[in-house]
Amino acid sequence: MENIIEIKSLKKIYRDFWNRPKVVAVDGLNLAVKKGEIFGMLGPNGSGKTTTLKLLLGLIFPSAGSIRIMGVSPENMECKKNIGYMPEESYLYGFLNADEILDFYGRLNGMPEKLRRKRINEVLDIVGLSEARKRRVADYSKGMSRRIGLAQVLLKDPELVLLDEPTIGLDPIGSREIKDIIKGLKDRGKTVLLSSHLLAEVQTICDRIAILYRGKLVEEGSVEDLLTVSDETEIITSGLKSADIDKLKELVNKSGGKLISVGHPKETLESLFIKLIREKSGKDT
Amino acid sequence: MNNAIVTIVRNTFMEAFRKRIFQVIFIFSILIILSTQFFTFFTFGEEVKILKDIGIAGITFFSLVIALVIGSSCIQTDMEKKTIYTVLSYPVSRKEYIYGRAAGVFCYIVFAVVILSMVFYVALSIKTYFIGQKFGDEARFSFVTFSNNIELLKGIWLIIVRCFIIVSIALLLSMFFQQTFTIIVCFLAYVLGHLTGFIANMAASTGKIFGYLMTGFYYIFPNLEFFNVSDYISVGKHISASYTLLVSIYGIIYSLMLILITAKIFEKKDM
Repeated sequence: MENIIEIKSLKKIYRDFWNRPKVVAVDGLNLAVKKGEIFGMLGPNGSGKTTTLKLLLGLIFPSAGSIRIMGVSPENMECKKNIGYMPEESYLYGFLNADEILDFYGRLNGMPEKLRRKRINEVLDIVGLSEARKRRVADYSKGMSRRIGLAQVLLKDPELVLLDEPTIGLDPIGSREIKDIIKGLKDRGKTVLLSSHLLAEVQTICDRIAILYRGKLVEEGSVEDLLTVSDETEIITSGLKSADIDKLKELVNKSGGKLISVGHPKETLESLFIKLIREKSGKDT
Repeated sequence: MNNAIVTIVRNTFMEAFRKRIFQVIFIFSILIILSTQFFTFFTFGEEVKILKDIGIAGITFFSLVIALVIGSSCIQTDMEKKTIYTVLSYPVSRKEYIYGRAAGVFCYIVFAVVILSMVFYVALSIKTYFIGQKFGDEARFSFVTFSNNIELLKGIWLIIVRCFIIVSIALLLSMFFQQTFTIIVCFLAYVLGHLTGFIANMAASTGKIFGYLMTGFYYIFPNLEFFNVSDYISVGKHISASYTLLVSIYGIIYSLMLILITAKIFEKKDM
């Protein structure tokens, strides 16, 4: 599959006033993100995730190494038309309302008026802000700010979407909705690169991940490969009686294996929470 | 014109227009100008002079506050609040962003000064009417020719150009410093800009090294005294068209140079 992002030996050193090296934020990073995948960058605070995203957007300049996005430099203007970016906080102009914000970004992207109007209505529907479209963004809650931040990304309908901590500060339902939108992007053939330190979130939506620590790549690969414990086997059945479990134990022992645990699978807290809230809101309506 | 620049100009104008603080200062300046209606003096000439002095002072004060506040904050706030991240993730070059921001502030200053000048003219007209009532038609005619003349327009135009210079200095300084510091330095530049003649005299009369320093200072600093024609306006003296043109060219070139330098620095800046 074609690489949409290629990072080679990337290094970013922040310097002090006297040009002396202060912090090595990214140190010899090599990464490739394939077209159509959801790629997660993981790492603790200060591991270089946001710096890498900034380098990809041309907001800061590399000290060494190279970056190619869709085959060109991040500073290429045509390339920027096809990149959507949602920063960690939705840093948008608070004096504008949702309609005006999206109109502003649509204009910046060179979208003709008719298309802009159509897309604004569509994305406001997608992120659930149609009713708050005339409210000043400064008066939005944190969740709403994240949504309008995502709306400006979707407005461009970009090939590559860069998301910095996309679900941070959101409640579980808001978080699930954002994740559904991200999965929807993948279904439409878009590439998503997200950075997060919420491991469960990355595990559920990413195809491949990279783990960064102190600006260096520690591990990279598909979530499936990295998380599979290859010398253990999980069997999930339904309708099994306790006598059958004993037989199963016997069979495992006979074949030289060791039964580690038998129990009932558990739901995640997130899915339980969402199920309960949806049931409750269904009853209320 | 470039679509991205026009969009940023529009946005900058809107941002300034909706700022509560400017709305308050704007109304305050209008009130100052209109308050001249209530001043009455014994002599006719004195009344007109005071009216013009207060009007010009109101316009100068408001335009200077806008120039200092927006000039020092519009880029700095975008960097501080990180709004710049999303803006530059669109097909907008850093140069376009700076040009758009600067032009947006200029447009707002022109808009605000034009509105205040219109209020000023209304105040003058009302005064004219009452002077006609009080002193007769001859006095009214003499007042109209004395006050509502082209000199006033030239003076107001030079106030605008002076503000362009202040904005450009503020934009450049905001690349390096926080807003408060930028405002303080800009205000100092404004004061020193009106003292360049004094600096030139000092350069001529002091020792070698200090003299060179002062001469350098004289050439680097904008000579804002060129734009100070309020004394001419208040006493109704003639300001030649060639002087207005030359000083305007000087101010605009000075501003453009600073904006080009700002754009150059911004192009290399890590966000």
